[in-house]
Amino acid sequence: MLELKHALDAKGHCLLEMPSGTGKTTTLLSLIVAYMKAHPLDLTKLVYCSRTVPEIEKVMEELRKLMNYYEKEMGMEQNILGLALSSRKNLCIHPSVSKEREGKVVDGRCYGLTASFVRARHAGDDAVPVCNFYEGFDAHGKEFPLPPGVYNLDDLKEYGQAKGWCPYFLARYTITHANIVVYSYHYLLDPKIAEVVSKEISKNSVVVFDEAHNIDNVCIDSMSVKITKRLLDKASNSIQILETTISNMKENDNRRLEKEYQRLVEGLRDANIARETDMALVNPVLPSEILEEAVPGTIRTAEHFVAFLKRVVEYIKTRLRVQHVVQESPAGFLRDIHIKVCIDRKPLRFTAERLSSLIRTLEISDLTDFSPLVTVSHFATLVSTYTKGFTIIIEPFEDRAPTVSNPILYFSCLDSSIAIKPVFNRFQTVVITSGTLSPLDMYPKILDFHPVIMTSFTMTLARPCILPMIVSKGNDQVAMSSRYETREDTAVIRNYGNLLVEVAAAVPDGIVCFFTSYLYLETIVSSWYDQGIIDQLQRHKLLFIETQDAAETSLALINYIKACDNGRGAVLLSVARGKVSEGIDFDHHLGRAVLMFGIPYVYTQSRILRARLEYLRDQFQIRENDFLTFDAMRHAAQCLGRCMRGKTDYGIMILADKRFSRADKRSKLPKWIQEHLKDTNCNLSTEECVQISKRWLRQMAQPFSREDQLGISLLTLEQLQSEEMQKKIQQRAQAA
Amino acid sequence: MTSSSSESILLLVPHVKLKKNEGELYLMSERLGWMVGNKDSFNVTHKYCDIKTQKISPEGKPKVQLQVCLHDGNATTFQFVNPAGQAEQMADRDKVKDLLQLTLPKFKRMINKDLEEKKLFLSENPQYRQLYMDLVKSNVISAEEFWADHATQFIKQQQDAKNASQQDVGISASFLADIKPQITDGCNGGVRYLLTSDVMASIFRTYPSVKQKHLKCVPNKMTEEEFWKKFFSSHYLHRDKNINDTKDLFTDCGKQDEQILRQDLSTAIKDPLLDLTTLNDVVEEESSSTPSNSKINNIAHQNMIRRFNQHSILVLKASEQAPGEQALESSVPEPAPSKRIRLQEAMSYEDLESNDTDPTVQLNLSRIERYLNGPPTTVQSQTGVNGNGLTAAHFDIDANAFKSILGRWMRGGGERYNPLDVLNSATAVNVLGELSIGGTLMRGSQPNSAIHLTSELQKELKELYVSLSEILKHFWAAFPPSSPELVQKTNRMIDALHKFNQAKLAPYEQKLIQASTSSEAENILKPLRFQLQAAIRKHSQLSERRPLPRAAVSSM
Repeated sequence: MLELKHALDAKGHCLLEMPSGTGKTTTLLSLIVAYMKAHPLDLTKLVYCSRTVPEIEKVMEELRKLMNYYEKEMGMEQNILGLALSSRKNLCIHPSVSKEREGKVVDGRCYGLTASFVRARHAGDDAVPVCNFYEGFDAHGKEFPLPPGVYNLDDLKEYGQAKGWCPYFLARYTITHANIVVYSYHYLLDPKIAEVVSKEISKNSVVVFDEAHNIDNVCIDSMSVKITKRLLDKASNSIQILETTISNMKENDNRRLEKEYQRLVEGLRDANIARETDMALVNPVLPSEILEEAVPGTIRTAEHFVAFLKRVVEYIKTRLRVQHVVQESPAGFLRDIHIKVCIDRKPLRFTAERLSSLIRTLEISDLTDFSPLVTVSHFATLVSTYTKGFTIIIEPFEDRAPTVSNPILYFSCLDSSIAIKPVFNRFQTVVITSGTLSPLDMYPKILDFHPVIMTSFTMTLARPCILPMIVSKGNDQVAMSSRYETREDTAVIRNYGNLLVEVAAAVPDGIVCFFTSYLYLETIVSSWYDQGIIDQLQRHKLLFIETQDAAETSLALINYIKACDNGRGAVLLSVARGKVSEGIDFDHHLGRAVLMFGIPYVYTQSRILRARLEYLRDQFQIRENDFLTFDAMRHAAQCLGRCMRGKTDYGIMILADKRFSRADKRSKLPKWIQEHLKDTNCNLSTEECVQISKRWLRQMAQPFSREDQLGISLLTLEQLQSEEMQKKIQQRAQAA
Repeated sequence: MTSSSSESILLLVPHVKLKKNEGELYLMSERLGWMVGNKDSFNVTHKYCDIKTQKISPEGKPKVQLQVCLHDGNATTFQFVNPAGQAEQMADRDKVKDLLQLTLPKFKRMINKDLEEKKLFLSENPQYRQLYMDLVKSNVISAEEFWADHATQFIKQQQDAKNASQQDVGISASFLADIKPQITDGCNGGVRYLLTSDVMASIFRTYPSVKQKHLKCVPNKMTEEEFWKKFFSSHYLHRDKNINDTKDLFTDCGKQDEQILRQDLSTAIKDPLLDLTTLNDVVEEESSSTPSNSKINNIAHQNMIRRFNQHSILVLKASEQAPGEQALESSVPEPAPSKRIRLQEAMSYEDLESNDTDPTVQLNLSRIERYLNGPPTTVQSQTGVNGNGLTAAHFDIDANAFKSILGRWMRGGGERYNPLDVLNSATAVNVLGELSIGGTLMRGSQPNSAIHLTSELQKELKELYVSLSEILKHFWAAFPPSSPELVQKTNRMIDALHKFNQAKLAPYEQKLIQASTSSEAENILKPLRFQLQAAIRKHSQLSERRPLPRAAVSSM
C-alpha cells in the first residue's frame, strides 16, 4: 500500500510482486478507490486489466465487497460506478445470438443485426431483423446513465434484461464515465480493440495490469500476424465475393460507390460519424501512427482497391512458394513488393482503413468469412508502417516435419514495448503486478519504461506453508534433468516416474505436475506406460492428463476436482505455458503438491524466438541466456504458484531438475518462494524428498486456528492500533 | 450355578487346582468352568467373552499354572497337578491353552467391538459420559439399563449405522494393472492373465459397454474364456493400440465410450471457473482448429493419453453411482453452482470474517426470586407451594376463572373494548396489595440469595440436575402405566430415584452444609427435592390405588 501510494503521488509507474492470496486485488482496489475519493481531480478513473474472464469477475466481486464496506461504514450510498466489460460472447442477451459458443460468430451476427445500414434498412422494411436490445439501448440508454454501483457481467445482463437494453453496448458506452472499469488486457494493449473501446479514457487514470507476468507476450501477440496458405486461399475467395458485390452494386446503385469515392478524395475519413456498431474492422496500427492524410488515389475506387488487394495476396502467395527459410526486414519486404508487383508503401499503409470503408459501403453484414482477408490487410498495413522492431519469417515447412509442405509467413513483433508504449505515455500511473514477476528488473527493460517503484513482497506466515525442494537425482543417483541431451534417457524418465509415484503415495489429495511441453509430456507418458509406472501410479491416485483440446481438458479438470473432493485423490499431468498453468488455481486440497519436471525453456530453435533474442540483444543489451532463463523461470514460478492461493493454504513444490539449484536459476524465483527454499533442500534425491515431505505434511496437518495466526499473519483491530505495531509500521515506512 | 446340559464339553482336564482345592477344569463351547472333584456343579465359571487374556507360567517354574484375566480386572489361576509328572502337567496346560487360544479371539472380537463402540461413544459425548459416571458408577441404575434406555443418542446412532447400507467401496484405479500378464513357463511363451471376480466386477462397473457386450456374446457366440481372451488383447489393456481395427470385438465398445465422453463434453462443463474454452476474453485471431499444426507423428500417444483420461473419468463415475438401481436417482443433475457463489467462495477468507457471537451470555435477572422459586401463585399461595399437591378441584377452579376472564376479553374484542372489564375490582385490589410493599410479589430478594458456590460445587450441582432429570424423564415417560412393563419401569425408576437420593443428593447436601449455611443448601437443593418428591408422591398415589408387587416406598 505504501509503495502504491508513492507511485500514485509521483504519478509514475510501478511494478509490484505480491504472492497470490495475500490480498493483492483488495489492496489495489481499496487504496485506489480511497485515493480517488480523496483527490477526485487528480485521479478520475481506475482501469483494472486482468487476464481471464473468471479473474475479471473475481475483481468485480472484491469491488462489490469493498463498496458494501464503504456503505456500511459511511452509512450512505457511494457515488462510484464500477463495471466489467467483456466480449459480446459473454454479454449478449439476444435470444438466439447468445446461444452461439464461438466468440467470432457472436460478433459477426451482432454486427449483422446492429450495423447502421441494417438498421436503416429495417426502418424501411420491417422484415429486416434487428436486435431489439440494441434498439432499446439506442433509443433510451444514453439519456439515463447507469446508476452508481458495481456491475459484474451478470449484473449487466440482468440490468439489460430488465431495461431491454443491450448490455454490451451499454457497458461500452458507460466506460467513458464509469469510475472503475475492469476488463481484459486486450482492450488496452491490442490496438485493434483499444481503438474502439478505450479511446476515450481520460489521462488521469490509473491502469492496473494484474497477473501481468506475461504482459510482454500479450503485447507481441497483439502486433503479430501469421499467414498460412489456407488463409490466403480463403482471402482470395473473399476478394472474389467483394468483386461480385461491387459489380452488382455498380449495376444497381452506383451512387453509393461514387459517394464513397468522393469522400475519400476529400480525405474525410471520419466525415460520416462512425457509429459504434460499425467499428467492426479497425486499423491494427497504434493511433499515433495513423496518417492524417487522404487515402491515396490509386486505391480510391472500389475496383482498383480490389485489384490491389488481389495483387497483394498473389504476391504473398508467391513468397510462400519458397523452398528454404527466408528471414527479412519489413524494409526488404517493401522493396521486394515494389519491384515485383509495383506496390508502393503508401497505399499499403491504407489497406486496412480502405478495406473497412469498402465493407461498410458494400453493406456486407456477415463479417465472419472475411476474417482471413482482414488479417492480410492488417499485415499489409503493419508491414508498411513499422520498419523497426519487426521481422518477417517465411518457413516453407515445419522443422519437425521437413517433408510436409506447410508454408507459413510470420510477421512477428520483436519489441514488446511498441504496443504498451502508448499506455505508459497516456496514463499517469500504470501498475504492473502479479504473484510472480521475478526477476523484476527484466520488465522495465523489455517493456521500455521507467518505474518509480519496483518491489517484491513476501508473505508473513504463521507457519511454513510452502515447501520448495529441488530434486536433482533419483534413488539410483542418476541426475534428473530435462536437458536436451538427456531428456530421452530412459533412466531420467524412470526417475521422474518414480519420483511421482513416491510423492503420490505420500501426499494426500491432489497433485499437479507440469512438463516442459506437450511433446515431452506425450513421450514421457508413453514411456511410463511401457515401464509400468502408470500402473503403479494408478494404484495410488487417479490419473488425468491435459490435452491440446481445451474442452477435453476441461472435462478432465472437472473430474480431477471431483476426485480430489471425494477423497480419492488424483494426479494431473499438465504443461507449463499451457492453459491449465495460466488460468486454473489449485487451492487447498486440489493441489497439495506441484511437481515441475524440467525447466520450461521455450522452444529455442524457433526462428521467431531467435529473431526476438537477437533484437533484444541489439536494442536492450539483454543477453540471450538471461532472457531465456528469465522466461523459463517465470513460467516455472507461475506453475509453482498455482498450488498456493492464500495463507491458510499449504503445498509442496518440487522442482525436479538438477539445473534449478544453480544460482542463476534459483535467484530468479520469486522472493516468497526463495525465502522458504533452504540450502539443504537444494540437492535432494527422491527418497530424501519424500522423507522431508512426509514430515512436513504431518506438521501441516495439525489444526490451524485463528489464534495461531493472531499477531503474525492476522491482526485484530486492537493489535493494529497498538503502539508496538504502529512503531513497526513507521519503521517500515521510513526504511522504504 | 449349574452347568446347562445342552452345552457341549470341549475339553475336560482333571487334576487342576484352584486355591489349593483339586478339581476338574471344563472347557465348554461358551465358557470354562471348574468344579471340585466330586461335586456336580461349577464352583467357578467364566464366560469366554469375559476373559481378556490368558497367561501361563514361564518354563522351568516348579508350578505349572494358567491364569485367565477378566475384563473387570479379576483373575483366576489354575494350577495343573497331574500326578504323572511335570511333562504331563505341561501337556494338560498346553491343551487348555491351545483351545483357549482358538476360542477366545472369536468371542473377543464380538465383545470388543461392542465395548469399543460404547467407549468411543462415551468419549465423544461428554454429557453421556458424565451421566454414565453418575448413574452407573454409583449403582443408581445398571449399565445395561443405561445403554438400553438412557443413552438414546447411542441407540439412534447404532440404528443409523445399521440402516445406512455400508458405504460402497470404489473401484481401484489400477484394476487393469492388477491383471498383470505373468509369463508362466518359458517353453511355450504363454502369457497368463490373472482375472479375479473382483476385477471382473470392476471392469463391468467401469465400462458398461463391455458389460453389454458380455451379455450379448457370452453364452451364445463364445465362451466366457474366449470373451476374456479377446478382452485382454483389446485396447482396454493395450492402450497404445489403434482403435480402428475393425476385426476387434471391442471396437464398437470403444466407440461407444468415446461417444459418452463426447456427450459429457457438451453437458458436464458447467463450472464457469473451470471451462478453459471460455477463459480467454478475446477471440483468438486464427483459431487453432487446423489439425495440421498439432503434431502429426504421435497420434498413438495422444490416443493413449485420452484413454487414460477416459479411464479415470469412468472409474470415478462408476464409484460415484451406487451399483444398481440407485444410479438413476443419484444422477439427476444437480443445479450448477451459481457463478456468484463460486466467486464469493473463491475470495472469502474465513479468518477475516468477524465472529461476533459471544459464547457466554450473561443471564440478566430482574427478579432473582422469581427465577429461583417460580412465579408464586397469588390465589392459592398457601396450598400451592406448600406442597399438599394440586388437586383436580384446584385446577378446575383455576381453569374456570381463566376461561371466564378469557371470554370477557374475547367479547371485549368484538364489541367496545372496556379495559375495566379485564379485572374485577376485588382481584385488582388483591393484585395491588400484592404489588405494594409487603405483598408477596414485592418481597425483596434476600440479600444473601445470590448464592456463591465454588466452581466445583457448581459443576457437581449441574451434574446432579442432569442425572436427576434423566431419570425423571424416564419415570414420567412411563405414565400412565397401563401395561405391566410400564409399571415395572416406574418401579425401577422410583428405585433409582431413591438410590439417587441416597447416593448423590445426601452427600452433596452434606458438602453444601459444610461449605455454607444449611438454609442456603436447602434453597439450592429445593428444586431438586421438589422434583423428586413430586415423582415419589405420584408413585405412592399409584401404588396406593393398586397393590404393587414390591415393598412400599419408603418416604423421604
